Amino acid sequence: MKKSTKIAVTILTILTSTQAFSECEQNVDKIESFYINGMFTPYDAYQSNKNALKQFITAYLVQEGFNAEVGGQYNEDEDKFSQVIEVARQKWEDDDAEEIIIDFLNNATSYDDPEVAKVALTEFLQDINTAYESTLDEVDSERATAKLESLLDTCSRVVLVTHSQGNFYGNAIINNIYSNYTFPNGYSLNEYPMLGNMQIATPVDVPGSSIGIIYPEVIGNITNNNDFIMELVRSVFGSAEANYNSADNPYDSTGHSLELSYLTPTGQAGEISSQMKNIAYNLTPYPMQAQWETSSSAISGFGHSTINRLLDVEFTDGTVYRYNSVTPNIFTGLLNASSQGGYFNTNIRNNYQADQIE
Amino acid sequence: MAMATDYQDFKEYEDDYLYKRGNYVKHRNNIWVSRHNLSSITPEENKFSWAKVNITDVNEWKSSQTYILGKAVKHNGKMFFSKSLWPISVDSLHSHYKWVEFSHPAIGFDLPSFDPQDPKASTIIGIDTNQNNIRDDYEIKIIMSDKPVAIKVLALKAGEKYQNLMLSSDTIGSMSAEIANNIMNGLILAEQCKRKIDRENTGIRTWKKSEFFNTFDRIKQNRLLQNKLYRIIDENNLTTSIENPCTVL
Repeated sequence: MKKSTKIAVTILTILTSTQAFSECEQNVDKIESFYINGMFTPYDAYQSNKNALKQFITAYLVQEGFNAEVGGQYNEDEDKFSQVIEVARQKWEDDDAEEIIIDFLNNATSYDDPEVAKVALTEFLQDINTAYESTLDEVDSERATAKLESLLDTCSRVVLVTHSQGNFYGNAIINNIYSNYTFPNGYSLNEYPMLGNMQIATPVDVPGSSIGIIYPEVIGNITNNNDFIMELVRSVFGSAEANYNSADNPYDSTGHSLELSYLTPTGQAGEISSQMKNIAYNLTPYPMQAQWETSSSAISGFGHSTINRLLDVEFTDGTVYRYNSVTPNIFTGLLNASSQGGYFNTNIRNNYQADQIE
Repeated sequence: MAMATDYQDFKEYEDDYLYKRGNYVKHRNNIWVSRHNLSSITPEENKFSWAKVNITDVNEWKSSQTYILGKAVKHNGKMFFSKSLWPISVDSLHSHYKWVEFSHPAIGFDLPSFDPQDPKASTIIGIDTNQNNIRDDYEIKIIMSDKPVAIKVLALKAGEKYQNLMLSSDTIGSMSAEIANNIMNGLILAEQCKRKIDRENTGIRTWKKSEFFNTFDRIKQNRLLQNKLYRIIDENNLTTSIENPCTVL
């Protein structure tokens, strides 16, 4: 073959051989949300919360790349809830405060006499502290974990949203998944965090627990300073301090309802959406070189995250480098270059800070 | 003419009081007019001594008609009941000899005759004397509240959905997904309707679920039955997002 013909064939081969070959890595900039309910939330309220979250995400976060659909897992919490009822029955039946406890167990958004309610509910929380602080039972936990892991299997970013008592589940689940989960291609979540947790009205002492310490940027939390329930919970369990200076809410005098006191008021909604965006944007994709395959003589594959501005390049010797702060324009230039090796050498190699990751 | 007396301001029946013919009291959510001088006779339906003021179907006052004790009428948008047999016009200067202008939170509603001392009242299912699929104590609590009429109507519809859940206990073991979905959709609609009103109407208090799930047994049953339904339903066919849930409740 003549030299000129050979070059032409090579160029043609390069032009026609760059292709997306891994659907999974294509999803690294997709953002999914997932809701699990706490112990005091029955199914009708779970679905309504999930719907409220969907409306909130549509209003605030779809424009930031979030999927409007919200995943979720209903936790039955039957045994623990039954235990709580039995405690209540033993202690409060025929008591003057029985009505307050019944309001609490029905997720009431107002109490006739808040001062009397505070005393009764503080005592009640002390009585049920073991159940209140507990994590999901085995079956519920397996179901929630399986659904979250199936989302992670798609290589998308996942933000778990938990409210009130459900934040104990958030802490437990997120730490469990971080300890055990590996992506389908073998990378570990612990090394490449793609799961975050937005904790709303959180009764835990450290949001995210260990993961909140290792990866604080993927855990968010908001608690109204007038959240009546969290104020009581804090006095019993030593929970994290309230961190949002909230105005009185005419729709929910407890300041605690997920929908009425957190997702609806514009101040809290803005704060939550900002934190959720930060969580999602601080998640770190695993090596993405499988995103685009190429038959360049120097590069065998590459992948890019617009959110993180990361470009992963696999060279034909098998090494993979992660280039930081690579804009979408540069990535598009690489993708469409007639000579990707040439474009890489000219525009990327010495222009961006890089780390070898494989 | 005197101002209308609100139901709350009527005197409660007292057992040792000597009532004269035409005296009136409130007792178990109704107004009663004594038909003769009496003492120690508790107002009760279908008994001669007291006439219950019936407020379910109230017609316009007619000058040609005779009104017996306890009969309620409407006139110029106001409500009156008769406390005597005198043929006095409702709008005459002397109307106070026969007519008492009143208001009652249950006007227009079918208030059930409910005895809270009935042993069945404390069961999980409770009593539904007027057989409208709403437990009587909840129905009465809602109707007799100071909530706006529109909220009462929605609260009663929600009560039907709650009661549908409670009544599913006997059949849930062999229930189809379609029926389970219907019951669950009703509960979700009720929840979303309540939240929509809470969200959009400052100062208007909706109903509390604790007005229906008002005992530890009922709260527990609510959770257990919802969990059982959850295991049966087809989640893909649930109606979870409706723009106007109150209109389809």
